[in-house]
Amino acid sequence: MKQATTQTQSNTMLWGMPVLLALLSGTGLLLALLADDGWHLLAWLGVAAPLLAVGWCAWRSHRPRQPPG
Amino acid sequence: MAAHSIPAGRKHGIDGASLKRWAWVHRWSSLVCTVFLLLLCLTGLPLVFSDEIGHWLDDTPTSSAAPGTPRTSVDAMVARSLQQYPGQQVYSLVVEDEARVKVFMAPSFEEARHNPRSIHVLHFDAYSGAFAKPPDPSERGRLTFMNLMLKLHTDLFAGLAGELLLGFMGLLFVIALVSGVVLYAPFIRKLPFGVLRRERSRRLLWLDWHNLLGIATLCWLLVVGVTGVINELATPMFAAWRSNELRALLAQDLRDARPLPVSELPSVQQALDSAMAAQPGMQAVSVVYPGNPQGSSQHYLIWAKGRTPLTSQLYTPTLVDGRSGALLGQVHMPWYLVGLQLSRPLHFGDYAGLLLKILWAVLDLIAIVVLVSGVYLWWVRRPLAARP
Repeated sequence: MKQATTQTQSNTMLWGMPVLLALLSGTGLLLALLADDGWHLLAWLGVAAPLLAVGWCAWRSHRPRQPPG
Repeated sequence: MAAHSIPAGRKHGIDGASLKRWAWVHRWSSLVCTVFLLLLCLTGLPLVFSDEIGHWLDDTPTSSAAPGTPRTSVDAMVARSLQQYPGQQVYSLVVEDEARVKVFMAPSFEEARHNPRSIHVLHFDAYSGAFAKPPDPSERGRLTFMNLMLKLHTDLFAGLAGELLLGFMGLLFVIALVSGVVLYAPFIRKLPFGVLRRERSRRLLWLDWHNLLGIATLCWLLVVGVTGVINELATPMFAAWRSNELRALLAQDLRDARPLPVSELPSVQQALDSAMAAQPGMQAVSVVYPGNPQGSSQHYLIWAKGRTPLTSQLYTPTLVDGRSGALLGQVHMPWYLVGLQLSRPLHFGDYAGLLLKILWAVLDLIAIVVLVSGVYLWWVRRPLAARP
């Protein structure tokens, strides 16, 4: 039981962001195609989500390291 | 991560043997397609901005007509074109642009089939019916920068064989993406998302970049990869459509098919008008002339599109008899052509303004980094992989 919970937690940690980014960018791609021009801003944000995530990771990796805890 | 030391994968529901198999699939599918994919990414970059570059390079003066001015008959423009190039064949008309009409001509359909560069275009002002710019025979067959990019991106100057080769490379790319996702879990293990280990080795940092960029842009890479493969199958798909749907519809008419001389064709303007009257709310795009290998030997084939974001991507064909000028009606679009039409915008990125194109260009550059880092990771690990 406890082991199953740990497994779920590590799966969420591993796949949470990749799935979220895929959903956001996929929704953005379809929204721009299916919805009218009023939805373009949201569509752009969705498609840009992976770029924002990459930018954040690059910025974070340059930050001085925090002591653990 | 292609040729990495294989991590123990049991905790991730994947055993050592299958992990090795996936690593092999990822390594070889990506290595084989990398050179082609790099070419596609580099040539795709200017192609994303084709419209903007086309407008920028376009030296045709803009029309001085006030908005709302009625367009003149295209019959007069066709007559003017035939007068300009006597003995030539009208190949097709493009009427999509409100202010312009393009008349494509070729010495003959046979010549156009063997030498597509013999096809040339005359530009007309849609309101006055006069030449929008003087006909320039030297423009014919000139290889422009954008044409070069398009040829390298679609068929490598090798026609159908080139299209199928690039389509196959696209398929390998999709396989590389899927196998990359399978390998993502055992390689990331307990690392937080997007970690970039700068303090360790250069190889490890590039591995982290490869994993981060690949997994973050995965959805876009898959969409552009799959739709690219579908686009490369356009030629066989249209050929199948012409020989199935179109032939079946025209079986009667094609029995005594003889070429129709351009001088005996019924009014193309009336053909356009009757086709468009039958599909209200649609916008005419182009007219494929009878005898053109892209259409029917005995009919005008008129392409129209809708006006909403979705239907403006879906083109519908209508046939008009090339002898009587009678309307035959719409041709059925099979599922595979609907799929092809929808996969165009999703590959080109040209369907939601300039900002989407800029995002497309940035994602294209990221794809280049993923490709190059993949080759680097394989290269630096190679001697180790060769060890007993």
